[in-house]
Parts: sequence; structure tokens; C-alpha cells
Amino acid sequence: MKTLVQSFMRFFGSYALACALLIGLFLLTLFGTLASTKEGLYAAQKMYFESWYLLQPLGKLRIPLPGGIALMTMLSLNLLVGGFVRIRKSKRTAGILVVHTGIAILLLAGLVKHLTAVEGYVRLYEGEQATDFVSHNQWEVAVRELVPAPAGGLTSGTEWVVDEQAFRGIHGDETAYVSSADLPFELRLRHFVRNARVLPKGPMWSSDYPVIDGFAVMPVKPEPDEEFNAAAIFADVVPKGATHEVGGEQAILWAGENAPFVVSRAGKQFAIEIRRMRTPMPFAMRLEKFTKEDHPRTDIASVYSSHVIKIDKTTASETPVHIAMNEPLRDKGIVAFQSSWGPSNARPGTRLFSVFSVVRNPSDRWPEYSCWVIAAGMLIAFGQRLLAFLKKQSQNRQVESAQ
Amino acid sequence: MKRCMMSLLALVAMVWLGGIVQAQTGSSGPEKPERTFAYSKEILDTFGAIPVQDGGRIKPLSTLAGFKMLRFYGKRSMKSGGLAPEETLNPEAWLLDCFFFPEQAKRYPNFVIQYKAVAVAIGLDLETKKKRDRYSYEELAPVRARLDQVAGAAFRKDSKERDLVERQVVNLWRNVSDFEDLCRFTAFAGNPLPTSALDSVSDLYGGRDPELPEFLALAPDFRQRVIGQESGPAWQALSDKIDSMARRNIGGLGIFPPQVDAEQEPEWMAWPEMITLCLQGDPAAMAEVPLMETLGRVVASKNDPAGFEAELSTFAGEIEARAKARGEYARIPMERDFYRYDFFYRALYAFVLGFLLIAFSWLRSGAGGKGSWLVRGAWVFSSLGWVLLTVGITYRCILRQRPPISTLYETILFIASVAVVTALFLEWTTRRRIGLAVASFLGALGMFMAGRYELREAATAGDTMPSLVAVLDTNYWLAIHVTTINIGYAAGMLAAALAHVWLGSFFFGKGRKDSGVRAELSRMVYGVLCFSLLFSVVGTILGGVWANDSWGRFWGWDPKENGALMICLWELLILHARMGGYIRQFGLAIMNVLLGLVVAFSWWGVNLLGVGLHSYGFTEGVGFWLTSFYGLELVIVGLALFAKYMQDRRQLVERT
Repeated sequence: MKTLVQSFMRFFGSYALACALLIGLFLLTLFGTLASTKEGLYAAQKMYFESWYLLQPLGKLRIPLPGGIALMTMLSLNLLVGGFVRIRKSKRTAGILVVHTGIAILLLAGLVKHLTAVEGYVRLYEGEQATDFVSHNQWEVAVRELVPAPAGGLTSGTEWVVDEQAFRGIHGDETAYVSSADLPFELRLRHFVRNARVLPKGPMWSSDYPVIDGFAVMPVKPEPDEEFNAAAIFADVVPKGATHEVGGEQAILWAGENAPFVVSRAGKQFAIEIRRMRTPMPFAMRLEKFTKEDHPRTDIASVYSSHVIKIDKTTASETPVHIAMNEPLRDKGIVAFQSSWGPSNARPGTRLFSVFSVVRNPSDRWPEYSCWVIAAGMLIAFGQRLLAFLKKQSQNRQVESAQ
Repeated sequence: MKRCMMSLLALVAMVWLGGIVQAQTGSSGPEKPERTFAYSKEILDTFGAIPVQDGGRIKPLSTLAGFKMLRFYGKRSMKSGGLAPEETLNPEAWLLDCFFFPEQAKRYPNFVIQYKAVAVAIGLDLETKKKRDRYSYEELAPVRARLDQVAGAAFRKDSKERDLVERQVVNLWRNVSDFEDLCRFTAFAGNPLPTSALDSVSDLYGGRDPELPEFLALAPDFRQRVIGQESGPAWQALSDKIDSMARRNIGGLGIFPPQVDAEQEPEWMAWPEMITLCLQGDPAAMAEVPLMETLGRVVASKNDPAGFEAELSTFAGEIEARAKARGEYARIPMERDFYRYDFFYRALYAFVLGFLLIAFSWLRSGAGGKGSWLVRGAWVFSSLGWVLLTVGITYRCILRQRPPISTLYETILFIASVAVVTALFLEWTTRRRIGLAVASFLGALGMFMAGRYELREAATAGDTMPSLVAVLDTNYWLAIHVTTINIGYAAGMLAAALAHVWLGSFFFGKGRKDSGVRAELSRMVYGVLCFSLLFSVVGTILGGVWANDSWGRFWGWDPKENGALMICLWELLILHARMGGYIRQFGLAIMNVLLGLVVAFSWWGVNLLGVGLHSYGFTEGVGFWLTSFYGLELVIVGLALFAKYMQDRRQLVERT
């Protein structure tokens, strides 16, 4: 047993493993970077850096390689065993230990972010308010009860949401079910297509999917930038416990559609739609004023910033906040950044909207702390070596001049 | 025959003397397309110091002229070609000719065409021209329509799909179009607008055809009278003429500083909107009409040197006074000095001299002692080069009110400066003449690269001090992250350069007898590598922290971020391989040569990929040089590995 532990420690704490992992990470970063030009950043990130393994194309061959998660897990082990346990502890290695501590904090920050962070955006015109932020990449199917609004018309009441994880992997005739005691029907989801067009079915093209009310789904190659995709999914609204053959209603839900699919059941109306995943914020944001200025006589933006009102959801108290490039809003675990504006083809005088990137990441500040720890460690480690080098040079010169 | 010859000579002499007399007396006869006098220093200074708004900032006309000339002609000094007497024109003199003597400027060899295939593509195949040659506007004029056609076809393609000739044709088309705009700058003067043919306004200008300033002074009345009243060919002719003046006169160049606070109205007015706004009766535009009249008087006096100087001075003085009142003039004289002193070109000379001296000291081992005059000279010139370079960078910082780096061009200057000073520090500590040689070599290489890249910037951005996109508008992060990461790049490149020296000594057997030299070189490489790692790691993480503040994520696997990460990973790999005993001196040298490739990929290569949020750094036209660099370095590494293999084999045979 002792030998086994020793072998384990020797292997995982070895320089050889460290070198192999560093080469692996280097190559993975290189391949991922080159792939991002073809696949897009998001797809390359998923394939290379957020995977356990991947098949790297090389001509017609596909070479299996460890993915970013596998390599970083191994590197963490290597760091732990080699960089903390096995390393000789002395004044000389004090700096290196501090550096390793900084790297450990950095890796931990990455892990925490990978496991817990949620990212998205909020898009607001002046006067508009948002309580949720919208994912760039994730989809969800939402069922909203439509209730009479105080000012007339209808508004959203209770909402039932199905996360993309529930339907991402369904194939063929597989079905994802959505059911709730409060819903007077059952929703069955089939045929999720990540990027699609929904078009009237004509004789000129065929579809692998069912034709509903003369419309069919035409799959389109997913765009490298996930935000340009428009997903589609088939929804069957059926009485609880029944199948769509008996009194069911079918629809194609499509993200490119402006209006939701509306059904009436038990005297109530429900809107069903596929949309970008939404995450509630602990506060609401209302855009008061958006400013965008260009450098004189150019169309290069020199500054864009937003005056928003942050509204506490519990107390309804309002706080004015200025959000600008490099000056985010940080509150209650949420960070909101001024990321862009639109519409992109706006002419002078066009009403602009402001776009905020919103992130919920518990390890938001950890990389910064790790940076200072690593810097301190390196200064200690390399400073010691520099002083030793200068001392030796000085001695050499003294010897030479004596000769 | 002899009498004939004498008569001919007399005629030539009379014409020549007549020219001189006319020039000296400043005859103000009818306007001539040819300039008959050389511009005085005062004229050139006055003209060059006129502030204009271009590319989002206020700059002197001399800067604009310098970059236009660099872009069209490839240099900041132009021979006037076959025109007699031949002159060497500086940018100010050239731009003055474009503005005031356009017919003469059209005969200068303004446009450099890099490849004969470009000339052939636009139907211009002059036998007298070399493969790479310069052409005047007059030479290009017959094929102007063909140039439009070929450039139009190239424009319809995606820029990435254009081949070399198409890219060059597009550049030429842009240059020619811009040149035409320059030549039209004062075309309004002496070019009356045909209003007398219109019944509704014929009495407005006293039955005369007014020039543009006079026309604009009464433009609101004119507009009121003609609305709904005029049509037909005379109206069309006038409209076309106004349109051509409003649309085609260096559209982006702000020449009239508003007479209000800069905060209130940051944009200077240019010809096009001034004409349009005057027609709408805009008071601010109407207030600029007297300044336009002043410019008209400058044009009218162009054949009278003294008068020209006086009128130009009045015009320039008015703009200067307004710019000063708006607080926008303070850095104009400094920018003039910056380009006049040409720090980086002088630094190039200093570094080359330093390198030559140190090279001689290597060759003449007897005279190459550590205290010899050659070494001392190399120290002086290398240090002088660094001082010039650093003063130039400081000038740019003050002019831009920015930390040293905010563009790719500035990375070259900064990286060269850091590499040189670090190499000089190494020399100071080691006294082996290696640091000195590397310092002067890297300094010269950096200044050469900066010069080449400035040419490219002239062609694309028209300036090396462009306006920054909003995300870069933060001096804190520019100073903290960008500076730090570029120190890392500089040290990485220096480590690679020192590794080349090590391989050089390996190839040529130098230092074999004195193994201490190679060992010391290895220590230098190792030390600089550690220095690079410190700044690369800290710079990379700080970049992530900045990205977290700007874009909401610390790390996005963006190519620029990945490039920086690759440097850190490679440097960590070298250190761990060394500590683990997997590499020694030779391996350290090889891996540091490869480090140069990794740094080059991060510094330049990822900008060619065109993906990610660092889009402000995308660049074109360096792919060839980068690929050549990769190829050369891989050959060096391959040869070194082969030589090492042969050496090991030989030693094995000797031992057995």
C-alpha cells in the first residue's frame, strides 16, 4: 500500500508529468485557437477547453486528445502533489510555493466559475426595465399563463419553464415531458433543432420533420456564434395522461417567431414559446439614459455609458447607478457590464438600446487576488536568483581585475 | 548653323531670365497652373502648423501631409520627377502644391505601384517603367475609368478573398481618389457658380456668377427663392456643381474650428456640411464664410510669394487663434517637433552604427577588448539609439495623453525599447559584448519594423495615432495590463535572440574552448526567461481582470488571450524541463528559439485570425513576413538539431 501511495505521489508529483501536461495544454490552446476561426469561439471553447476529451481533425484522421477539463484536472493534481507536497520546503523555494498557491487559486476560480457561473445579457431601451438576464447560448421552453392586465389586454401570469438540459439530447421520436399539477395539460417536446428556419412546406424541399399546418422545419448549419442561431422544437399540447392523437394540439415553436403559440385550456389561455434562457436578477434595472459618443468626424465610439436605476426587489428602493465601459455595476453577486449598443446599423437620430453583459460568478474577483499572489511569489523567487547572479558577476569581475 | 544655335541659346536665356524676373517680382498676372517660386521656410512652417481635425483628433497639416505622401509615394520626401527645375519636396511643399497648384502636382510621380502586374491590370503598360515604379496622376489619367472598373470588381469580393494584385489595385484606387480630393481642395476659388442663368436669383448676386463664399453668404435667400421655382438644364448644372463641391472635397477633414467651446461642439466643420448647412441658413456655418473668403484670397495670391505668405498667414492665424481659444492647439507645435526630429529613424542609424562597431570588435579580437574604442563606441551609439527611441515614445505619450502602448505600432517601439535596455543591463553585468550586440541588433530590427509598419498604417489608418475604441479608453488598464504584457513579449524576444547567439556559437564552434561563455549565455537566457515569465503571467492575468471589468468574463478563450496563455505555458514548460533535468544548455537554447515563435504568434499571428473580442487589433499584410519568420526559425531549429545529432554521434564513436 505504501509503495502504491509512493508511486502515485512520484507519478503525480513528477516534473515529467508537469512537462507533459504543459505541452498538452499548449497544443490544446493552439488547436483551439486555430479551430475558433472555423468553428467560432463558443463551439471551439466547448470542444477544446470545456471537454474531457476531443477528436482533433488531422486530414481525414481524427486523433483523440485529452480535453481542457481533463488536462486541468491532472494539472491541479500535479500542482498539489508536486508543487505543495513533494517540493523541498526551504528559503530558496519559498517564492515558488507562493507562485503555486496563486496558480491554485486561479485554477480554483476557474473551477468555481465553470460549475456555478451564469452569464447572459440585458438589452434595454431608455425607460425599459428588466428583472431577468438572458442567456447567449442556452434555450428554454416557457409556458406562460395569460391573465387580464389592469390596464386592459393580457399580461403574463404564472410561468412554467423547461431548461434546455431537458430537451437538448432528445433524438428521433424521443420525447421530453413537461407537466405540473397547476397546468391543465401536458407538454411533450420533440425534435429539438439548434438552428432552423420554419417555412411553408412546398414541393421544392423536403423536411425530415413533421409538417404542421403547412409549415415545416428546415435545419440550418449552426452558426459559430451561438447568439445568431434560432432554435426550433415541436410541442404537443395534450390532455394529462393522453397522447396527441386524442385531442392534442401540435405546434412548431421557433425562436425566430415574434408571437408565441397560444392554447386555451380549462378556460385559461397559455402562451408557449422557445426562447433564450432567462435568469432572475436579485434587483431590477431600469435604463434612464444611454449615451453614445463618437470621436469627432469618425464613426468610432469614444464612449458609451448608461445611467440606470437599480431597484431592490424586496424594498423597491431605487438607486441611480452609472455603468460604463470598464466601470461595471457589482451588487448582490451580480455584475453588470456595459458591453455594447444597437441597432448596429443605426443612423444619427435612431433610438438606441443599451446592452449589458450580466454575470453571476462567485469567483469573480479571485483571479485578481491570484495575480498579486503569483506576482509576489515570482518576485521573491526570481529576485533571489537575480541577486545571486549579480553577486556572482561581481565576484567574477573582482577575480578578473585581480588577475 | 552657328547663328541659329546662338539665336536658340538667346531665346532659351530670355525665357529663363524672364521666368526669374517674373518669380522675383511676383507678377500677379493671370493665374498659372505652374508654381514659379520655391516655398520659403516661413510658408512651409505656417502651412504645416495649421491645425485640422482628422481621424478624430486635432493634428497639424504637416502630419496629414506626411502620412498622405507616405501612403501614396512610400516616402516622406519626393523628387518632383521630370519637372524642371527638379525639386525635393517635403510633405508640406507637396500638399501645398496639391492644394494650390494641382496641375503641377498631377505631374509629380505621386503613386508607387509595387508590381508591374498591377499596372497591366489597369491597362497601363509603359515600357519605360520598372517592375516597381512611381507614376504621376497624368500617367494614370488615361486609365482612370479602367482603374474604377478593376477596383470595383475587387471591392465586390470579400477582402479576404482578394489576391495580391486586387489588393494593390484597391489601394491604388483609394490613393488616386484621395489625391483627386486633395487637388480639389481649393477648386472653389476662381470657379464661379452659374446663378445668373436662373431668373429667380439672377439679381441676388448683381447679375454676376458668384464664387462659392459669396454664394454661401446669401445662401438662405438663394434657397428661399429657388425652392419650387427652378428646374431645367441651368438649374441642373448649378445643382451638380454645388453637389460636387459639397460631396467630394476631403469629406473627413475638419478645417473650420467652431467658434464655441470644444465641449459644446467637438466637431470641426468640413466643406461638405458647411455648404449644406449654409443652404439651410445655419448660423454657425454662415459664420465660417469669411474664413472661406480668406482662403479664397490665399488662392488668388498664389503667384505672388509675398502676398501668398501674408494671406496664408492670415488664414492660418485665424484657425490657430480659434483652436487656442478652444484649448486644442497646445500639442500642435510638439507634434510638429516630433515628426521633424524623426527620433525613430535617427535611432535606427544609431543602432546600426552600434552594431557595426561591436561587429568590428568581434572581428578584430585584438582591438575588441572590453575597454577598446570600438566597444565604447558601440556603447555610446546603442545607448544613444535607446535614448532617442525612448524620447520618441515619451513624445508620443504626451501627444496622445496615453501610456506608451495603445496600438500595434506602439508595441513595436515599446518592445524594442524594453529589449534594448534589458540587453544593455545584461551587458553591464556580464561585459561579454553579447548583450551589446543583441541590444543594437534588436534596436535596429525594431526601428526597421516600426518604419515598415508605419507605411502600412499610413495605407490603412492614415496615422499612427488613431482614435481608440471605447474599450481601450482607459489609461489605467493600458498602463497596467498592456505595458506589463508587452514587457513580457520584449523579454521573450530577447531570450530568443540570446538563444540564437548560443546556437551561433554552437554552429561555429565559438566558445568551445571557453565553456564559460556558453554557460554564461545560458544563464542570461534563463534570467531573461524568468523576467519574461513574471511579466507574461502577471500581464495575462491582469488582461483577464480587465476583460472581467469590460466584457464581464475573466477568460473567454479569445485568440489574443490564448496567445498570451501559450507564452506562459511555453515558458513554464522550459523552466520545468530545465528543473527536471530534461534539457540542458542546448535544449534551453532550442526551446527559447521556439519561444520566439510563440511570442510572434501571440504578438502578430492571432491578429491575422480575425476572431474574438480583440478586433481592434486585427491586422492584414503581415502574414508573409510572419510566415517567413516561422520558416526561417524552423530551419534554424532543424539545422541545430541535426548538428547536435551529428555531434553526439561523433562523440559516441570517439568514445567507443
